Amino acid sequence: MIRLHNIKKQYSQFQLQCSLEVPQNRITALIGPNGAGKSTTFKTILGLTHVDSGEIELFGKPILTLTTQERAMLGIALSNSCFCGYLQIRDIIPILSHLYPKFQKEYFLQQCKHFDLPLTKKINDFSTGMKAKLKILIAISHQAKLLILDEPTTGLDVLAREELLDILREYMIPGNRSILISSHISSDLEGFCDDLYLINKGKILLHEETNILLDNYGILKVTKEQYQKINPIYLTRKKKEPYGYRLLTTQKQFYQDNVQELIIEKCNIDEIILMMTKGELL
Amino acid sequence: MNLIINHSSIQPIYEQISVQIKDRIIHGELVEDTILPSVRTLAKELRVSALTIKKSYDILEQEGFIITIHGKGSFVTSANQAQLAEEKKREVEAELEHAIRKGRSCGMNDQEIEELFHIIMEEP
Amino acid sequence: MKGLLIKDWKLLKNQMRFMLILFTILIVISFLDNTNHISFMTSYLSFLFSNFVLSTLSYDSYDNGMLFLLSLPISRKIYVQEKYLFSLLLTFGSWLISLLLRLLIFPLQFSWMEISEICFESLIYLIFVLLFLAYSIPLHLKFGNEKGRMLSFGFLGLLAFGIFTIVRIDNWQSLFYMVNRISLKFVIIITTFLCIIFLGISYLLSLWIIEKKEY
Repeated sequence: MIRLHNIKKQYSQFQLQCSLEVPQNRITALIGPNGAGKSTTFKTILGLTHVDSGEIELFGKPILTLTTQERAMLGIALSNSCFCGYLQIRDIIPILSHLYPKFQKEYFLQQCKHFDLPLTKKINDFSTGMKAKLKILIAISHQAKLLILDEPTTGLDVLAREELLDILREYMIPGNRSILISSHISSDLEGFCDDLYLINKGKILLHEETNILLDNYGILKVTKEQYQKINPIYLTRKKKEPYGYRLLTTQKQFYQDNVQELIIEKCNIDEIILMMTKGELL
Repeated sequence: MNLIINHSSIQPIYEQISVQIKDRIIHGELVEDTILPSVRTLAKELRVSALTIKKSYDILEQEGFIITIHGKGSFVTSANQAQLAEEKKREVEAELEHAIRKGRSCGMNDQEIEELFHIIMEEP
Repeated sequence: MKGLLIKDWKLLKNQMRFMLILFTILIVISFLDNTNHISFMTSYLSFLFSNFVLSTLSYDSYDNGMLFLLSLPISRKIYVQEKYLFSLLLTFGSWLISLLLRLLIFPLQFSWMEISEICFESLIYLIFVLLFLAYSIPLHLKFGNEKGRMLSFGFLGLLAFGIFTIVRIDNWQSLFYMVNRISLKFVIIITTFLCIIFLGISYLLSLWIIEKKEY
């Protein structure tokens, strides 16, 4: 559905250089610290900013050749931008009906009611949570085939975040849809996305399926002596600790089976990110 | 579907799922031709990645417990549940016999073998 | 494009109350005053409404709004086209209304001379408003709304100064009658043509500015 091939864009602080792909029926996450290049990547996909080199394709076509109907198959939620705050929900309903031929008015109204979004209040007067829900609703109410969501859960409390992710899980059920979502709250995405790309300083550090990250990756805590003896074949990052070293492995099973008396921990996405960004390469 | 995932367990999630589903099939809670929830539906319920669910379903299919028909869904197979369970039990019996024989042949007495058996049983 | 038109119309309705109050005050003032001011007041209405197009540009870029707008299923070209269409609709709409109001408020002077005088004056105002929009829209798009506003009003000031001096120079009323006698139709055709040209250039310029813009 989305294909970025070797795009490059020079900024004053860093150079964005990445390739990524979102196949059909997939939830792909783009994770990274603030300023890593997530929003920039999204802007290039949406044609809001130009790249110096590389190809960007949506639905198999270069983005500049997409027709209006094809663009209507995209559902978009941006982190810092939405309809003009002086409008109300009842104002934007006719606007959306005309922009998106497949806009589902009844579903939209039903969901607004469900989430307690007032129809006659200016959007400026909404709370952060309400605005976030509105943005997602706009994105999913016109039977889009592909959702592109830039940090949709930022600024929300735990309950609201879980609610939002549930809406998106529901959205995927009919099939033939994909989501590209970005976040810097990686704990949310563990139980949500199918695969993830880790980006930092404009470069992709890691691309892996979530279940492999959770099932196969692990943290080894070793002393200096153990570190000397250990087989580095499945180790990818190391970090000095007071007790010796903290190691990230891509195959904890290997070390579990072959090495005695090793402290091996299951790791979550946060720890993987920390090790991949702050740890030394092995 | 009432499956429980232990996120802190060292056992991979896909394995936890396939084992629990297998259990239900063997014990007859999931009868033949029952349709399993779609990958995405179960992913939503359990709050895990859809690829994990797919992996579980693939394993179950490989082991003959379910069959996936493209476009329709995944169904519990018509393999006789009792037969399957019996077969598995027979396999475990054979392996235990083999282990006991080996123990005896390298000079362990029955009490030592039993002790060892209990120690292993207690491991998580 | 229709979706965008609806959006701008809804934003206009937000300001409608304010505009109508202002307009009513102007009408009342001119009623109490001499008749000469009514033409200015009613034509000022069309200027106000047309200026609203520039407000929509402000609304659009407020709070990073352009990011969202351009991610909608519209091309950048359609965005620009909608703005010009909206300008034309508003300008002509309000111009017609103000012209009708003028003719209705003082219905007694129905001599051919007076009607053509009123129409001619109105036409001047219309062209003036359209030209104002023609150079303001690209300025706003290129330099953002604060700078754009300053620049376009600055230019307006210059123009007003220019007209003021011309008016001072000669008995422009005789010029007007002379022109009137030549051929009203001819004058209208020429000025319409020029107007279209200016608007066309403005449109192409705006298109170029928006296509190039990075967000």
